[in-house]
Amino acid sequence: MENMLQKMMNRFPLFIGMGFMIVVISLVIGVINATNAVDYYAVEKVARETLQEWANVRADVESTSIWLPYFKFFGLARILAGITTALGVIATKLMQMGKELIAYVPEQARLSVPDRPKSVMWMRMFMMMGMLIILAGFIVALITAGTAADLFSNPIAVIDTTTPGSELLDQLASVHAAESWLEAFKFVGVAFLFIGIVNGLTSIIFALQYQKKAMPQVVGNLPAADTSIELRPAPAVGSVM
Amino acid sequence: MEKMQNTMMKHYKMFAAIGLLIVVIAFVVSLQASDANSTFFSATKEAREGSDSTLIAANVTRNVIQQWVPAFKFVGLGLMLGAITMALGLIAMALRDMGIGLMSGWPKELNQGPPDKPRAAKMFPLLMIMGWMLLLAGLVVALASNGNVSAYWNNSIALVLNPAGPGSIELLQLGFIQGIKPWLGALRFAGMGMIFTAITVALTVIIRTLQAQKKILRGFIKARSFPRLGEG
Repeated sequence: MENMLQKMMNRFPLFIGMGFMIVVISLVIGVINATNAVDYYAVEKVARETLQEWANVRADVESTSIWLPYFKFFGLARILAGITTALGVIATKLMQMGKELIAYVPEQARLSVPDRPKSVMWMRMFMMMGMLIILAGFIVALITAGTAADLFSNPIAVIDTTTPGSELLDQLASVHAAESWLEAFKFVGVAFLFIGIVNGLTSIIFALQYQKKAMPQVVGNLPAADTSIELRPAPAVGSVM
Repeated sequence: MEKMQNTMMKHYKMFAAIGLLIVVIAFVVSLQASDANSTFFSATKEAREGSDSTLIAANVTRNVIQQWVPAFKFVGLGLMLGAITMALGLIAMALRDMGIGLMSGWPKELNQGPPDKPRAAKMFPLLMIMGWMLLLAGLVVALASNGNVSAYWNNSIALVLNPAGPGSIELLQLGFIQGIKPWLGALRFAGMGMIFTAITVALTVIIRTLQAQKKILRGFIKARSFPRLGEG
């Protein structure tokens, strides 16, 4: 499990590349959707609200406007997860470097290397939670977009004159209800990813503060006459994070 | 001032937690808006635009929440980004302290003392605070305009709002509500932009600290190795 996570963390450029691609694809789809919206609003109000042909265009525009922001945030989440992972890699390298350096120091001057900080675990947890929240939101957005496509494939004149308790009104209510919480939900995902980044930075601060504290102590512990410490290859150090 | 900034920076985790809490509260409030939307849009268009008090109340709730919740949510996100900026500042400080600690053991003739703090180190906390101020100003304006939003939508759409004539209080309120929306959105992004700039400047400070340390270390190694080469 740990090894798998390590391998995944080293692939952070892939995460960022994939995220960037998703954002670019969102832009292209957004441009296509905008063109459809321009066509729709270029038609006179009576025609676009009564003709089936324009209802289908509106269905496309409305449903895309629901799922596309989530798709874009899914890409952004991957980029943020890539940044978090990169911070994790920096912290890992710092701790490995510390271990390797300590291995060069004579035994009597060595200090014990502290355990991995809990912030590493929190970093991974928040990153995954953030990704999951955005993924869950994306799935709900796709379902809502399907409902919106069904609803708006009816001409506006039909939707406006529907009777109480009809399926169309239920669909209208569920689309608008979902839209308002979905908007805030994606930011909860982003907030979790930010907390992941904060924990990644905390791990780096932990490693640096340990090194800051340990270095003078190691120098102080060195034997006074030993001014020419012979460098020898350090023993292999396993991953520490 | 600098001491206060340093103390504040050490509490970056608290700022991140407060930010997360604000974003979660914004989500919970948006559930209330979702409920109001569900109530409002379950009724026929005629009923929605009529004078049913339940539907008017639902319309007020959904519009009021839409007005202030985005600003509130961005304050939370801004606090979290501020926490990231502070953590970067702490990294820069730890690197500098580590360098000073290491140099303190060097012979006096090789120890030129720590380099001056780069100007960017003083700039990024200011940029971050300015970003926060803009986000807070946006929230205050959004909250202050809630009275108008509430007063405007607390009317029947068909009977009062649509027939409102030129110069009427309803049209003035509508103009005010629609007028502040675009610049409030822009203000939020200006605030976020300031905080992102602060993050970039903090990263610049880290890069400059590492570059200065590389230069000092290179000087130290040169000074220590040339006499030996001469001896050889």
